[in-house]
Amino acid sequence: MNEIIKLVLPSFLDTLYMVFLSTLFSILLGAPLGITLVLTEKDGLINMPKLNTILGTIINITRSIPFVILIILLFPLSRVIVGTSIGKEAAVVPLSIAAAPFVARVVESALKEIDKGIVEAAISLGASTNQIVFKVLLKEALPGLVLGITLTMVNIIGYSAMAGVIGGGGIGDLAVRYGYQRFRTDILIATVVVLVLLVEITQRSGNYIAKKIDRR
Amino acid sequence: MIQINNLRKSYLVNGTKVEAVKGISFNVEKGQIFGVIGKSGAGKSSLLRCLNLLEIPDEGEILIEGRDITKLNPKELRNIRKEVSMIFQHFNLLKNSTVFKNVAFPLEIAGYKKDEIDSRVLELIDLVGLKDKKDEYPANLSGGQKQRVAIARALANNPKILLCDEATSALDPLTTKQILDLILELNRKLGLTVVLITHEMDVVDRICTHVAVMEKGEIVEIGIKDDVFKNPKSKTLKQFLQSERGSKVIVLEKKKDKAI
Repeated sequence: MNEIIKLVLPSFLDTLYMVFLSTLFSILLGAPLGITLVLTEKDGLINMPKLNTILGTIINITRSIPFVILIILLFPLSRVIVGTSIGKEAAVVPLSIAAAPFVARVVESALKEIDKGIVEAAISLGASTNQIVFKVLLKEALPGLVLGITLTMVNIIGYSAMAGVIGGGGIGDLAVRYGYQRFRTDILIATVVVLVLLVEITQRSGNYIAKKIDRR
Repeated sequence: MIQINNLRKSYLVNGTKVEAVKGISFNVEKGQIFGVIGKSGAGKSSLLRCLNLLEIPDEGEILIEGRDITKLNPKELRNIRKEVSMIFQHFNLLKNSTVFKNVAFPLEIAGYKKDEIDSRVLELIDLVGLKDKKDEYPANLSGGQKQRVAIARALANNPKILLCDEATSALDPLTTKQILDLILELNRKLGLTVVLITHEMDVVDRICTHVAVMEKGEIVEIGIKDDVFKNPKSKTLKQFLQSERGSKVIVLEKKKDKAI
């Protein structure tokens, strides 16, 4: 038992590291993209349907590349950004990039949920596009955004385990090295339990926060 | 105050052009409560929404205090919108913000300091009679209270004109009366010019000084309310007046029934 904890705990911390950083970076990359999608759609606040179509297509293409292949494709980029293509730091790059288009869609759909009348009222009060984005859209959509980010984290947890398989570190890495290569079924089960708990806790906290801040 | 010259607005509906406003011209003077009445689809909403450029007209001029707002740059337009406020049928409040924050919104975006905002917001909330509700969220308010918040929000920047887009159509008769009384009070107290559109005769009858009747994108009758109502010419107005009389007769008869 002691041995299992000794093995699982550092891997678990590595996974947390990957998940948190990747979520953060995917939001930084994906949220502006999602906001742009909403603004540039036909009859949006910045009516640019062509740009919208181009962005939408890029997002769809990125989302349709299987994650394992995306990691391999992004090895060179990891090397440029963090200096290596192995380990938890290296995994953050493909994880962030893989999750960013997902975040963009999540943000897009959360913002689209908002009643057009509220945006119209803001316009009629003299709000600029910037003010509408930050003071109306993001604020009104906050509960939906929290749920969307939660969904993103859960996805990244799954992806991070996959990244572990090809040298990304974390729980996935442990599962392969001990559980698969050394036939340690107990370690394998422990990794699964840890992942299930992590997903469960993430989802429950997300739901709780979203409900707490929703005044609609 | 407002001069509208040859205003046209059309939409593309499934590829075909539909003319909602067909070359309308009229003036609204300071302090008037100007009602536009018509059936659904007559174009009154399009007309009203052109007055703060929520809809961009295809053609024509809209002069507010002599300035043609269709020729303003975006920044000038945002400033003019602070002088021409609007309230809506479905209130359109920020649902994740308290009453206080909703009323503060126009002041925040206009860049006022926090202490200025605080005192102005309290003053406005008091003006519309919602002092004890300032920390409530819109979901906990009645329709009439929501519209009061919307009115307070619309008044925050001291507008000269208030546009009312079917502002009482989602409210029950008693609440409608209270909201209309409030608008009338603001008109008298602040010298606010009001342009409202409605399909409820009662609204026009109760507070409007002037009225225009719209049919199929055109104004078919316009003038001082009492004159227009006394001598209706258009089909729409005749029908409206008749149905209103009809409903009053029914109410009277019901009362009689009860008395018996």
